[in-house]
Amino acid sequence: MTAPENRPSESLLHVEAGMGLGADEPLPAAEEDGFRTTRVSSPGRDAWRRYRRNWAAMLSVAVVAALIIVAVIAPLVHTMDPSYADFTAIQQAPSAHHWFGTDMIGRDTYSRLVYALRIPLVVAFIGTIVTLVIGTILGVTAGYIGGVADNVISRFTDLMFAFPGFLLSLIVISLFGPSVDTLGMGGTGRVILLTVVFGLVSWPALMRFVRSLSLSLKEQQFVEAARTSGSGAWTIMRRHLLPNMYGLILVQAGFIIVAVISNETVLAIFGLTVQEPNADLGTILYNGVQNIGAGYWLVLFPGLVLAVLILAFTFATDGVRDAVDPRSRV
Amino acid sequence: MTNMAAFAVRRFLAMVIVLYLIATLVFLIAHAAPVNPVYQALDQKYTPRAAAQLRHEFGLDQPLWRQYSNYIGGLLHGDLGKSESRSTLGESVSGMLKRGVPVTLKLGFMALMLALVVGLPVGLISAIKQNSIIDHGTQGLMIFVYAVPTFVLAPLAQLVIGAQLKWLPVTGWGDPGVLGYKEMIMPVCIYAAGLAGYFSKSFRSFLLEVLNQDYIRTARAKGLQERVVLYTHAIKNTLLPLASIVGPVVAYLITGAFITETLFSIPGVGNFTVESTVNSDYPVIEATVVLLAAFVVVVNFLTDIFYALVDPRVRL
Repeated sequence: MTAPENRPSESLLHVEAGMGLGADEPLPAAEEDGFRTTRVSSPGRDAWRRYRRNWAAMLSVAVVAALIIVAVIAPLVHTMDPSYADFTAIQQAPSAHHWFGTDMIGRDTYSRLVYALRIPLVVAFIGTIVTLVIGTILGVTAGYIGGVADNVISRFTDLMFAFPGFLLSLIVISLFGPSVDTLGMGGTGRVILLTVVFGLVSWPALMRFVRSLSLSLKEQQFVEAARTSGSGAWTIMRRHLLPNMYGLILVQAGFIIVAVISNETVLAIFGLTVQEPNADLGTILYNGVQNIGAGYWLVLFPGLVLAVLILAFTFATDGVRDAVDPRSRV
Repeated sequence: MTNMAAFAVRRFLAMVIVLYLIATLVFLIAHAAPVNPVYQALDQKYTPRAAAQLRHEFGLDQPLWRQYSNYIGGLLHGDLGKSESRSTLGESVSGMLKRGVPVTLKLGFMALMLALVVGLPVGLISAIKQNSIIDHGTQGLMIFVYAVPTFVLAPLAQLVIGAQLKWLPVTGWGDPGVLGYKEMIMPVCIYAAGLAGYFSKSFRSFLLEVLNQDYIRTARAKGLQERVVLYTHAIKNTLLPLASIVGPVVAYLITGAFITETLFSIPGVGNFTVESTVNSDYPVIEATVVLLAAFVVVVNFLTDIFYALVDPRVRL
């Protein structure tokens, strides 16, 4: 009895749209007759169509992509060694040679920013993946299986939820940070610690969200049909519940990324992320704030990079939310 | 009301258990950390003898379970231990908190009030004039100040208003006279900005939700003045959803206190906690984290009770 499992699952919102048809296949009849291919709408394709029309969201995605590319190819686009202190060029204003000026000990701000971009991006992306895995597995299990499993998982989540995530990450990183600095080059140890900590503190809200989605989905008829035809719990969770949540989970993932980037930057300002001479966006910014009279470029450029990074992720995620769930738009 | 009392007792017990678990978790994290506080505190004056003496003074030579019971006992008596960092060695943590907490509360209270005074009316006007130019303009601005984080807004304001235009001092707090007031303006406004954006955005959407309800149409249909419909029917019904944003607001206030105090050099709880994290001064970190976590848990408890009082369905 594998028939129901092979059926593509429909989003709650689009049950009528793709019912029973392969989501990505054109209508066979239309093709045979040689007519213009009629495209069948699928939840994913509908969402993408709505997303494309949203110019702010498209622009934000382009900016996010550009920033990621710059961070990845940092060795190709930097102009100087980011930690090289040129004592003949201290505190210089932006020029053709130093695009964003130099800091108090003559390091090139542009090159430092290019490399610094990597840290929040790596921490946010990998940390969010960890969060997604934990939050989704626990949420679906608690929601679908219910009973004792739900009780145990939910109480544990309540406890983690009650503990403010920011404070938890602050205490863990401040106490364990110094001893991981010796691991690897360029602050690798700190980056791993940050990633793990943010991955482990951010999931409770997601778990509750996924659990409530599972609770409502499991009452749907297609789940009942799958159950009646003998599908096991694992198959139902994987083939019928999860595919219906991808869009909404993606939206949550976007908001988690923004939150992790923000919290990581706050910790950087407190001096708890990668240590000198390695640079983090927050540490470069805070260096500028401490020497605010020394030159506008010390604050302006790191501030702008951070603003662009966070706004781009925020608006791209807002766009995904509006595309996946148009009703959420007020 | 017995229903309500039972609910309150149950939630209260849950809160006590959560507080206890948080305190224990913080203790375990602090003691699992591979930091040697004695080494940190003595630094160059480190001798085995001085170290042993300091360990004894802070009770670090006692077995772990003993330290744990001292710690929990101390928390219950309001004794939060002594600072172990070099600059404030031996100072009681409660003494440090007594200096810091009023500053943080004052800053947070002023920011919260400013955010309410600005955010709620803006949200109200946006909702009444939905889709007008006023709505789009103010909401655009509010979403912008909400989305741009404090740690970007503050340095840019310090740069432009403080360092370049020299209208207000860049940092500082609590100086006598006019300077003291001038010092407050920037941190309070920046701290309030994100919160005001959040309030106006949320209040607008809650109001729009309520204004679409049938009973509002009924109220209008029976000829009530729009003012009465708005103030006695609509706004009252946004109280319940508004309570649901208390949690995020408290979380924002705490993170905001840390970042605002650090950037503006304000001597509050956030500032000295950050200093203590840099010095691995773990009695201070333990105490403030437990205290702030307790604050969050208590606020959540009160919100739940408020919910249950207003909406009987929650009590079940």
